[in-house]
Amino acid sequence: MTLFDGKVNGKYIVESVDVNIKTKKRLQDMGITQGVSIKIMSKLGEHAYILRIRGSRVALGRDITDKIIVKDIASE
Amino acid sequence: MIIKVALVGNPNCGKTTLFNAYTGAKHKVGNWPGVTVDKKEGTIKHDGHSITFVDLPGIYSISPYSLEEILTREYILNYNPDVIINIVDASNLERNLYLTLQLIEMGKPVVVALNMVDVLEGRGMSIDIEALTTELKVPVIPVIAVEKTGITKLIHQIIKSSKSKEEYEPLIIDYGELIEDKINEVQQKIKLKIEVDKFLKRWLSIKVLENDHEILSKLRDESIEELPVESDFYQHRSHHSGKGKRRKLHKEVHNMKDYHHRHYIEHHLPGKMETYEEEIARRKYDFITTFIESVVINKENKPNEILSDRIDKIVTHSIYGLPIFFLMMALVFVFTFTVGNFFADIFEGGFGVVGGMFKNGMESLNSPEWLISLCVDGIIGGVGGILIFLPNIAALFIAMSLLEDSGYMARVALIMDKLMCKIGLNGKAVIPMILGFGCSVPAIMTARTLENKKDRLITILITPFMSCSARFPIYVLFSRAFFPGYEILIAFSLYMLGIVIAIIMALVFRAFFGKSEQPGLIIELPSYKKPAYRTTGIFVWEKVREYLERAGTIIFIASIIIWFILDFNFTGKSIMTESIGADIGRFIAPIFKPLGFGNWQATLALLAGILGKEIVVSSMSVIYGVGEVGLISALGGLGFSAASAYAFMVFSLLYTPCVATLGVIKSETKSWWWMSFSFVYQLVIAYFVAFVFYQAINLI
Repeated sequence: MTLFDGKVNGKYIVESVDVNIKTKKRLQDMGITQGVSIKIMSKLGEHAYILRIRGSRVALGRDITDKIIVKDIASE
Repeated sequence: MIIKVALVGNPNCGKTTLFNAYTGAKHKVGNWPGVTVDKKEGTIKHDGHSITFVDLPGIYSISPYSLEEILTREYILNYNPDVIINIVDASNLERNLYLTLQLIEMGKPVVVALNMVDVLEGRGMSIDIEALTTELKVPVIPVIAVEKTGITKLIHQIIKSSKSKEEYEPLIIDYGELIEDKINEVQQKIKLKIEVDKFLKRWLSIKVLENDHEILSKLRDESIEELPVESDFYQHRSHHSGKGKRRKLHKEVHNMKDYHHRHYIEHHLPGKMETYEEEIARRKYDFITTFIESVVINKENKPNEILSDRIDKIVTHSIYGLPIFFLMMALVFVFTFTVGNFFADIFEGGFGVVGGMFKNGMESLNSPEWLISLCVDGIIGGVGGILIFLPNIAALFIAMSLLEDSGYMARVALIMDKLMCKIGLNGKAVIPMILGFGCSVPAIMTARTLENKKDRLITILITPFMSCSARFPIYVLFSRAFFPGYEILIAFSLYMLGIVIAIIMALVFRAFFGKSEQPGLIIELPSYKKPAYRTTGIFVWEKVREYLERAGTIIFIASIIIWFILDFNFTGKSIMTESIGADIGRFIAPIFKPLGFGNWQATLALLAGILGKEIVVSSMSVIYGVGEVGLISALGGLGFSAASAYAFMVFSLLYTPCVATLGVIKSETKSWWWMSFSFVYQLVIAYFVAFVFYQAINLI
């Protein structure tokens, strides 16, 4: 699944990030690396999600959330 | 002893606040990422030491992907600061430490200033300073920059660290066997003409592994002779492409890069690791994770959802978010008008009285008539005509400051992202546009936060259409004269028109430049905070001071020049209609005939207004004297009708940016062409739109 399929208050672990190097770098700067856990705090419709990552609050647009491959923590 | 200190940290972690605390400077701070766009310097004396602080723009990492990152990195590498103060937001420790590790890796002495410890304590948590110091192997000093707590202790540490910088041994992060082997391999291959310490060399090697294009090209310049050329690779390529002639050039330009690709960077790693670059970043975060739990005391206390998250659920709601934003903007507008006008009326009365007193006083002193005219009509008329709007300007900046300092501004980027995407821009472009309501100059500089070059250029080109505070007096003056009782409505319509034109032009530029690959929105949302009176106070005072300064310098001089060219011609003193000013105006005026204001007075005011849009009004005031009643009837007498008055306001809103704005367009785009383009295209659009309005209103 991708982060885009996630639910509000759901926690997910990042498996891979399928974006170009520049965007990937910017996501790393926000703390998004392989294996990190992400919580979806709220959604702006489908357009953008507000996330909690490593203690900080980050908003990502749809074209990015649907390129972050995650797995549901609950499913482990 | 002179100590050079660089302030480095994540965006919005309090660097500028700390810088202001030390230097007594009054630089603008805000609660959104990217508020500082340029580096600033300030020097203080302490115990016989001269300490120079450099406030650098906020960055998340030392990679070469944004202007700010490159600027910071170049600064550290080239200017060689004695100590780097890394300001870390304690309430966001884990993510902030990622940059800390990168700074430590560069090998310069780092001192961590742990800021906002009070925010963390407010959440029932604290940080084990000693444990953090041990883990990072650098001194950690807790500070509260807004309250100036801990800053003396930090100064002492800076002095201490700079004295012992020769002995400094930075922490070395273990990247695991595979990458460490690679680092060693690269380290041996890098041969530099200048001597660098082993830490910098390790850092360079890590950057090479990260495929950092800036560092790669620098190394290419440094060590091109030492590295073997991969001749077979190129022969193979030229054979294929059949472009033998270009081979040599190609080889020179690309050999280093390709060499790295082929030898250092076996880009794809075995197993789950994807690239060295990714693995190096992951290892850094992993290192932080190993100790973060033990360093942050009472981490389990951490509430799942703090107040900021609850506020976000409302203000960034998919349905209410936009209406709330528009309501906020409407409030800003109403506040500027009502509160501002209340004080403006008092000011205005005051200037009338002062003008009258001056006139009487000077007459009783038998001053020559031209001097009375210069002082009363020229200076008090021109400068006073602008100063009466000071309360409105102050009110506008108070409202803007509250939006910025509370943390709402970052949300606006998010809320508006969907709409901005429709005009081919990213949500972040909305921040410069909103700041443009204040002044185009800082607004255009803020466009640096946009990652994409084309997006940034488009934003720079459309921001001047946002109606800045200098244009406000024009609306007030003309709508009072021609639309009494409807001033707010008329001004509002012009603000909206500016936005509409900006949107249309964004679409036009987007069509022209082609669709850029949308990098998508990535923005950090800071926690909300109660706006600090101090911050707002400093910000508004600076803006008021700037305004007064402008009134005292450029508007003052412009008023005198206008007065002069209106009172004289080449034969000497003349009546106004035969003056040089009138001649200049008359020469150009016919152009504006189709727009309804083809008189020399309006033309001259517009021409002078290129110096600064307030000058449109101050010139008018000089032409007609201070008395507003006189001005209104005079405007009527010139043949200004409601239609031509509106067309004049439209033209004033849209035409050529003021010189200060043109200057910043030049410096930000680094291009005379884009500056000249702005000048011409806004003129054309202003003419066209004002023409359409004038003709349309006349038809009705």
